[in-house]
Amino acid sequence: MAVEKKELTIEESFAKLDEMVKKMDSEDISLEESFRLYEEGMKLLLAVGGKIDAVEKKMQALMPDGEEVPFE
Amino acid sequence: MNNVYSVGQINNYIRRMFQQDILLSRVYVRGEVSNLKYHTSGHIYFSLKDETGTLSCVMFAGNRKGLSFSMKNGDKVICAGNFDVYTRGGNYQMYVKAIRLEGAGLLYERFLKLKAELLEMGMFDEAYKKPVPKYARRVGIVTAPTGAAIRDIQNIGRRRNPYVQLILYPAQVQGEGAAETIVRGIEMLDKAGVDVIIVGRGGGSIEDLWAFNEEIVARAIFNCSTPVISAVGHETDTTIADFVADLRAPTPSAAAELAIFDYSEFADTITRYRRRLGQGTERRIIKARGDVRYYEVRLLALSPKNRLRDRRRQLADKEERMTNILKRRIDENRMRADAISRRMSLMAERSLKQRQKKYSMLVERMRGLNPLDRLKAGFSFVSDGEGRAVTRISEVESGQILNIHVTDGIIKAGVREICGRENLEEVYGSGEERTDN
Repeated sequence: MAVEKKELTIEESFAKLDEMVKKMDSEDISLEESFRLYEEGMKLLLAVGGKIDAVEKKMQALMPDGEEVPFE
Repeated sequence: MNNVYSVGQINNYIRRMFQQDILLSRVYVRGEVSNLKYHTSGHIYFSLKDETGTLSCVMFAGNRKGLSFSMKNGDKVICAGNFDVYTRGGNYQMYVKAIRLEGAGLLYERFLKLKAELLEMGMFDEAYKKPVPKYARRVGIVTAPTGAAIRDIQNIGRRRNPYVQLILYPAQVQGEGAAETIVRGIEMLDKAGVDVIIVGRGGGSIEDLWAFNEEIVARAIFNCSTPVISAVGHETDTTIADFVADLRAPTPSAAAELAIFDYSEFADTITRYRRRLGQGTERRIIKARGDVRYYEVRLLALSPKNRLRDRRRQLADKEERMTNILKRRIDENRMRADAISRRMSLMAERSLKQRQKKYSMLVERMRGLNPLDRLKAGFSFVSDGEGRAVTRISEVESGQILNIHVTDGIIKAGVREICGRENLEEVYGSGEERTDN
């Protein structure tokens, strides 16, 4: 497998997953291919999940001088 | 000097005159704003003037909703209200309920003109529209730090996805210099690196929304490398910003819904993919297992061991069948032999008995034939001198000596007379014949 040139966005990842799942559901896929797809898919899912840090964010205000301050 | 009145009486008299006047109870006055004072109480004091003179005006805080733009000195306005006398100052003034910029109609014309120009320049072309990312993690917002718009966006963010970073550029969205702060906000957020920028404000009059119809704002949106969602006013309000933006949302709330993805939906999507990947693999494994079993069975059937076993079984079958046939034949033959031997022995037995019977019969007959036996019964055997049996009269002659054999010896007798059968009666008399042997 070629190393991915750039990180996929979440949308691209989901699109890719769609493709993979479709491929997986096809009749003539080999067992090896299906394992590979599973592995790759899970890796992708993990990466996608990792893109969203489940930390609640406070709204920030970007001031005209470029400083970011919490906004309440 | 009978008719002397107090100040209060006169002021009240004049006040009643004003109050009773139909025209002055509801009137529109055109003029230019001057001496404008926004009082801390919320009241607005100003004068309307034209080339001929001035008119005192007040807009009480309770009527502020009648002013939907930031009024400043020099504005040409039309005020609606009524006149009354301020008795403490002894002056009359206009109590203003609503103020409109006189140029509102002109503003609309300017709007149409700019729209046509920008359209001509291709700034509204679909080709320039950038797609708004579905999963933005940092959302920039250019709007007023106070007011409903930012609160709505904040609430929707909290509800849909608290993990998205919202960054507000506190802009001035109406009045002098508003357009410039909006432009600066767009530029700064673009530089700060956000996934999408919401530019907008809540509803208002065309004057209030005017900043979003300024060319510099349109250009800032057009030049922004980050996708921009416009969200100005209500659904029915349309501004130049809406045309040039990559996506138009009818309201700030709608813009927030478009820019901030629903986290639970996102989590569901991940779960769904995980499940589908798992199911897909499992289904494939189950199929593979089935294949393996199928080939296993087929291979096993074809294996030398199995073939040998089959052959052996076939051989054993044949052997058994042959043994059975042989056995049956042997049995049949044995039975047949038995039957034959039985029959033979039966026959042998039967013939033996017959023979015995025959023999005994013969013996009996022989016994009957024994001449000596006959002699016992009184019969005698007569022979001539040479031992020949005498059976006929012709064989003897008178005087001949005959041997009469009896049981215990021989009597020699001489023939006296020879009589034929016809003369027998003379000898024995009539009676039964006892001549047979």
